[in-house]
Amino acid sequence: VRRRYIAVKIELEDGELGKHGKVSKGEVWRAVWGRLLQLYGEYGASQADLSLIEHNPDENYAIFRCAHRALETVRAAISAVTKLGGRRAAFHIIYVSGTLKTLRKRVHDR
Amino acid sequence: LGKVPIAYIEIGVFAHATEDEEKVLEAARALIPKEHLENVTFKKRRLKGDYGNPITFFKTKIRDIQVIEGIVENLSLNLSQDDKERVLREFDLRLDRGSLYIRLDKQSALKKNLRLCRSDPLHIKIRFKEDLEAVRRLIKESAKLGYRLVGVTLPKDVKPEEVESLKDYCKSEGVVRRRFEIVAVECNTKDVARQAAKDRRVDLLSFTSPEPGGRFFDAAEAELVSGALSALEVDMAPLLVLSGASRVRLLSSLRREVFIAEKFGVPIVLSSGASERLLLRKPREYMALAGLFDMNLEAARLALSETPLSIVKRNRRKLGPSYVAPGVYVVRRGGDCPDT
Repeated sequence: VRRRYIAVKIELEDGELGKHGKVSKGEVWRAVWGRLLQLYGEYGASQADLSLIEHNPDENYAIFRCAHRALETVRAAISAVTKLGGRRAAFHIIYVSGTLKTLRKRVHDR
Repeated sequence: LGKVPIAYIEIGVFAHATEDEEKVLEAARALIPKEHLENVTFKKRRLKGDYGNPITFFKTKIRDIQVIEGIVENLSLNLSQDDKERVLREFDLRLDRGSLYIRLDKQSALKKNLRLCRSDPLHIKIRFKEDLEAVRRLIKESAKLGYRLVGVTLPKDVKPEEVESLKDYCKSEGVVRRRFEIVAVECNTKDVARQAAKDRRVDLLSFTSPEPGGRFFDAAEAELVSGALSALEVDMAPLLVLSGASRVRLLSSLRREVFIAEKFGVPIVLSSGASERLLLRKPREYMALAGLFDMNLEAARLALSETPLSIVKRNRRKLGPSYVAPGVYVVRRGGDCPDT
């Protein structure tokens, strides 16, 4: 099966990080999964084959994996996130790739 | 194009010894939409009046944008036309250092009936964000997200030198900085919508109400628009902010509008509608979000780049010296035109 790896940068409100501490992996996952379910339902979510591969709480960056056919739906779900845990947030997709190796390289190069 | 950004709303009310605290609090809570009530807590303070009589003061400060929008909507729906006009007329008097003050009758608020009043009222303070600073931050964030052309709506009383400083700021952030003007009309009533559709000076028609009752882009409107040159503006921010049934309604209105616009050849412009940094998304993300109302990727790309660019270009030409009338330009000047 063909897959897509999506690198995401998480933006929080200024100064929020210090006040509430770092973002947990569970929060990131729930934020995106919740949106995917909300927007596309269980049927759509089942096709997306979404998983959270990596989460770096220090730099607020994460990698998701999804089925390549569902990339657009996952992209919409990720960008529809406005809240993370209790705080306001925005997820920006940095790069999308077919392999983890090139994704890491591209993200590293920026 | 963004909306007027509100930083927070404060609601305060006094309960005198002769009044029932619960009742007074209920009056204040009547302003807040039911679904958000649990997120709002009033702080209570005991004060002493001139004669040693106990007074209780309830106060809350609301920063959640959804609740703010709910309150503003509540105000605009439940205030009478006279009162609304009065607020507008006295806007400058009511505005003090970036905050708008509105005082409402406690008694009638309890009955869900909002009315302006002077003595012993419910105090509402609407604090606006530092406009230009917010605009600046938005421009900066847009540049960071890869936008090369940024359109912002400014209040009509902004001074020219402030606009100039903003333009310089755009330049320093690498965003296109050129003289251009876009005429956007916010269509809140059907009459405005129809008139704007016929007017060739209008570049963008925008329907800001998320509810189907406030959107007037139908086949008749599209027919009128296709004769003019304007485009339909679709704000993406409500799509992010709303949830549940209201987002479902918005999506189905958008789907219908986009379908009609495409049928009549009315260009569409996707715009962020963002009033703050965290509601901005990258262009590619907006394309994916447009898929939610069945706009295909190519159409969404056009709506994000070519269409807005062509509007800006057209307006630059309109403002240029060689513009005569729509479709007529001076190609060459002077007496050396060949005889035909």
